[in-house]
Amino acid sequence: MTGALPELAAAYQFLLIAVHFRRNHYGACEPYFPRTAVVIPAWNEAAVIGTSIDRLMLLDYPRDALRIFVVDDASTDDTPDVVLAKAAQYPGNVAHLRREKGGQGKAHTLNHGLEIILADDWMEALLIMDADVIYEPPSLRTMTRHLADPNVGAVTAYIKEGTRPGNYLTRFIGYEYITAQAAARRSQNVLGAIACLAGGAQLHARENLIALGGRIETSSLAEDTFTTFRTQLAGHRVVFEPHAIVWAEEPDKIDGLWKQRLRWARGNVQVTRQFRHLWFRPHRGHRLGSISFGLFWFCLLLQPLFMISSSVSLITLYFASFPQAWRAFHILWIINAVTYIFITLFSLLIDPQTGRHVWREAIMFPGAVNLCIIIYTCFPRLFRDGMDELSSAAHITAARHSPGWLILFVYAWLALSMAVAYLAKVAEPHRAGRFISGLLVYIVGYGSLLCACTFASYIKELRKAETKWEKTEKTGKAAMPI
Amino acid sequence: MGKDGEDGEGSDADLTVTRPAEPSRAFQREIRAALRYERGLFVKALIALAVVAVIVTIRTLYFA
Repeated sequence: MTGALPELAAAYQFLLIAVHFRRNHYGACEPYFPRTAVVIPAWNEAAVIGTSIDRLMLLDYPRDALRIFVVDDASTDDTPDVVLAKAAQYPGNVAHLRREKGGQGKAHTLNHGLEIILADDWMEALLIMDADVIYEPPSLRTMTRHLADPNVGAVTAYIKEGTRPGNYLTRFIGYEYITAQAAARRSQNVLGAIACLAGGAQLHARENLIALGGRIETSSLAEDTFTTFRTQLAGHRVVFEPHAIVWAEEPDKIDGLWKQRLRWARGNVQVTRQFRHLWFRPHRGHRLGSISFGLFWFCLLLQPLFMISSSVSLITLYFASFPQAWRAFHILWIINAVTYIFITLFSLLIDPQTGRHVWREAIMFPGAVNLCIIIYTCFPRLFRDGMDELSSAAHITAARHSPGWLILFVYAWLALSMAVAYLAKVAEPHRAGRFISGLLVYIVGYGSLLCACTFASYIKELRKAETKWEKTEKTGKAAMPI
Repeated sequence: MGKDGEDGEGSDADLTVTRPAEPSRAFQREIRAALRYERGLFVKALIALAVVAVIVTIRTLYFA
C-alpha cells in the first residue's frame, strides 16, 4: 500500500493550507522599503529585456530605492544595446554588467553581479529574477514587508504561468503551478520550511547574502534550492508571499519542458544527496529536518518509483492471490480518487482566476486512462451495467467478466504511463507530432509526463551525465491578464 | 550608473534615499485583505472536503 503514500502526503499537504490563515508571517510584517538591487542574469535576452526593465520601473516602489543590474552573460545578440539604451532612459536606475566569457550557467552569471553589488553598501535587499518575468506593480513591496522582520532571510513570490497565447501544455503548467506554488508553498509556510525560492522571484536580505558567503552555489543544477536550504540552515527564515504575483513565460513544447524539468529534477537529486544529513532529523535551528517536510520532499522525488512499485506489486499479487490483488487495487485507487477530487477542487478554488482558464487541464491532469480507472473505482456498477448491455446486445458472454489481459493492463498502467509519456516527447518533432504528443499527454496525464522526466533524471545522475546548463528558450510571450 | 566599471566603487554609499513610509492605513488594509483571503481558503478546504464526503456517501450507498 506504499503506492498510495504520495497521494496521502499530497492530501496532508493540502489540508495544511487550511491553517495558513493562522500560521503565517503577516503578524511580523511592517511597511518597509529597503534599497533594493534587482539582478537579472541575461544571455541573449534582447527580445524581452527592454520590456522587463520598463515594467520594473513601473513597480509600486520608491524609484530612488530601486536599481536594476542586468548581468549580461556574454550575449551575442542586441542585449547590450537594449540595456544601455534603458540605462540612458532611466539614469541612476539601470546598470549593464558584462561578462566577457559566458555560458557557464545562471549561478556564475549571478555571482558576477553579486560581487559588484555587495562591494557597495547601497544595497539592503537583493531581488534575483529572470529576464522574462513580469512583476505585478505591488509585488515587490508585498515581498519587502516581510524583510522588516530581521529573522527573515529571503522571500519568494507566486510565479504564475503567463504565456500568451498559450496552448494545452502551458495550461497544464498553469494548473501545476497552482498546486506546486500557491498550494504547496503555503503549506510549507505553515511547516516553517520552504523547499525552494522561485528562481524568477527571490528577494534576499543583505545579511542573508553575506551569511551565504556572497555567492550562489555553482556546482548544482538547482542553485535556487541550494540557496533556499543554506538560508534556512543558517538560521534565517524563508517566507512565501502568495499575494506577490509574478508572471512567467513557460515552455509550450514538450521538448522545452523536458529540458527544464530534467534540470530541476537532477538538481533535486543533487540537493537530496548534498543535504543527506538533515532528512527526517528534527533540529531546533530549522524545520528542514521535520518528518512532514521530509515526507513531502521524498514523495515528490520518488514518485516514479512509487508508481513502478505499485504496478509490480499488483501484478505479483495477481499471480499469487487474485482476490488480494483486486482488493489492493481497489484500496489504492479509492485513495487516488478521493485525493484527486479533493486536490483538484481545492486547487481551483485557491486560485480561481487561473482556474477559469485551466479547469479542463485540472480535470485531465491524471490522464484519460487514469480518469477511467478512478470513475470505475468510484462507480463500478456504471461500468458493469454498461458492459452487460454491450455484451447482451452483441450476444457476448465473455465480456461480462473483465478479461485477464485488461486487468493486467490496468495494474501495469501506473508504470506504463511513464513510458507512453516518454513517447509523447519522442513523437513531438515528427510529422503531425505536435497533435499526437498532445493527444498522448491527455491520455497518459501531465503528471506521468513529469514522472517520466524525474525518472530520466535518476538515470542521468546514476550515469553521472555532464551537468550542463540548458537554458529555457524565452520569446517574450509572457503577459499579465488585463 | 551605466556600463560595468563606470561607477566608482562605493561611490553611492552615503546616498540618502528617501523612504516614503507606506500609509499605515493602506498597509493595514492590505494585510487584512491578505488574511481575509487566507481565511477564505479554510472555508474552501471545507467545501472541497464536503464534496468528497458527498461523493463517497453516494458511492457507498448506491454504487458499491
